[in-house]
Amino acid sequence: MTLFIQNDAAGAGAGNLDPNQAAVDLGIIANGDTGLGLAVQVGNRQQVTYVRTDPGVPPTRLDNLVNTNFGVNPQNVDILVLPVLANFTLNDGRSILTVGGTALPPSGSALPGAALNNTNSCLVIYDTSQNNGDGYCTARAGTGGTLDLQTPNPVILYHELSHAFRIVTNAQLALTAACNPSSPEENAAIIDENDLRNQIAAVQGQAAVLRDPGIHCGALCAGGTANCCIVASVATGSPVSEEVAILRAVRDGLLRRSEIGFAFFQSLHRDYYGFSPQVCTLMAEHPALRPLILEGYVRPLVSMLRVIHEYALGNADMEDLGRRFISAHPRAEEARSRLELLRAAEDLVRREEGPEVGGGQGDLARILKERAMLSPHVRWALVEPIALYRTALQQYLDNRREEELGEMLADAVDSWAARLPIDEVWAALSAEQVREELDMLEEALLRSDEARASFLRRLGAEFGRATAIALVVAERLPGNGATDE
Amino acid sequence: MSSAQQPPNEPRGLEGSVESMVEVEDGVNLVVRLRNPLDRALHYISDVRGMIFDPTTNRLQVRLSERGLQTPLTSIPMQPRFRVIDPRSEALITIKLPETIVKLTETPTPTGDARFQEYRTVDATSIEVDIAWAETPYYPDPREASRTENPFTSWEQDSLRISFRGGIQRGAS
Repeated sequence: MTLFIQNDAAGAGAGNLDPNQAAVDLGIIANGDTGLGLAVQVGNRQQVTYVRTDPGVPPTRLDNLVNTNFGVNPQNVDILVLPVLANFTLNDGRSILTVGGTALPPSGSALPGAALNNTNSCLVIYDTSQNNGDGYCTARAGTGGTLDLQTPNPVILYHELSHAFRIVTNAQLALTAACNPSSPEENAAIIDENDLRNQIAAVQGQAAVLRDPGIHCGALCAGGTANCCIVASVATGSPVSEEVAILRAVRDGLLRRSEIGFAFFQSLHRDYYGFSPQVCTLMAEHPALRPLILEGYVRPLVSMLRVIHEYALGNADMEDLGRRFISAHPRAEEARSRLELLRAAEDLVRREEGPEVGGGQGDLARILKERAMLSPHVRWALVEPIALYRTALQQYLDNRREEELGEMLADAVDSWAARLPIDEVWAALSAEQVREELDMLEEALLRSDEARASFLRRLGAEFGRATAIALVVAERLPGNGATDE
Repeated sequence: MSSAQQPPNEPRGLEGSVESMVEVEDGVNLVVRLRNPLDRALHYISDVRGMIFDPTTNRLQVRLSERGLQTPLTSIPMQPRFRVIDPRSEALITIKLPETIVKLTETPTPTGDARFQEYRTVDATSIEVDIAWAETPYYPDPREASRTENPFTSWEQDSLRISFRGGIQRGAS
């Protein structure tokens, strides 16, 4: 008896652990080997069982962990996995988000970290929330220390199990707090971790991107987690579809490069993942919803973001915009049918209480109304562009000329851009940072003078109490008065 | 620290006060007003590194500092998020706290069971915020290879402690 998953946070409220995620992560480590299982729950934990058939390195190591009695304590609970959430702290108060995961030697073992463990088992604690959705980035091999390599949950778990294996076999190597070069113990765990990265890449048919074993520390991922746009992924049937690639490019290229963009996407990410997994579940339960979501939300959003990208980055003038929009819709019949679906999608969100709509549409409407539409970030980034697109599509079908359509699109994008939600992080910036962020926004989003002035007025009204904001708004909008709307 | 040579009434570093503390849907937003009274920029940690809730006094300590926290050496030590505040300037930072804080029990569990404690952030009646700052930005110390101390603690020149009594404004957003 060796490896267990804690499946209930005994003493705390329900929902403070995610044992299902741990089971999924172990399944990925086992490379989908069907011999992996869980015994009946005893107390607050379940023992992991494994009859291995997969010859791979990670499954073989997992087999060794699961089927060896290491004799750590009389209860034979050698390694206990705690799949915690973002609100977990270690016993000294350290937030799990500052370390991602850890393997703690049994209490009283005198090994480093044992003082943080009140049990006589080796604890493997890892954050299943992926740093509240922001991800854990480590040093990508071959880059000299660029911290941009995502560390998904199974990789964190496997890394910590590597430490746990050496802890329970009394084979732990030397440890230091050094980030670079990493300690011998960390180096060994990272080399093990790369075995799993190789295995996952092979399953996905991709070239493995490995972690540098010489560098230990990590940082918040500037691009968020590798997961992106899950509704688009499910609706298009692929996480690497053209639509998802465009959404990811807009996310990473247009706004996320800056401090403000980063904060914006943190908020958007948090709100988006508050409802999007439920939308994906609905699509799985009601496949007929997929065309509605694909044509009523995902493709219109992608089309409009493409227009915004072309206009905001300045390589398209008004006439260009109209021409490009028209050439992107060569068949009027298809455009009409998309407009129908767009209207159906809008009606779904607008409709008041009434007779229950079937096929999952009622549930979809509820999720969108109660979760998505309440978020200013979701409304601005995901809902308003679709409304702009619908208006443009209607005008195109009404046979507007290229220049008319282009002018309408440019005005609509300018007005939309100036309504960018203003996050609290603005108030924490220095004057130089505020100037840089505004320059960046003007370059990437706020193209017209009116959009710039409108945004500055909002910024001054919101955060004129912060010295830097008051100063820079006054510089750029003389006579405005930082706190006047 | 350089302030040791300054007269007692001279400002010595980062200053601040709690502006508001409001319950929101997924936790509590703590807004802190920071002031830099010096003629040079100050650098500080802007993300939560640790939280300690004392159930006997309902005091919540929020650490934007690595000092006093152990660093488990088998982990991914995440670099703090650093920010800078201009000379003679004020800034507002919003610290997002979770709805509840969960940790392992203080009492040892020799049976091998892991048991937990959970505290509601809104139950705090007093808050203490520590914010680490320095006059220079953080750079990795090339000497750190052989060291066991946390490199982010070594960077910290001092920390600002802000105490706030009065509890959390409930139900607003």
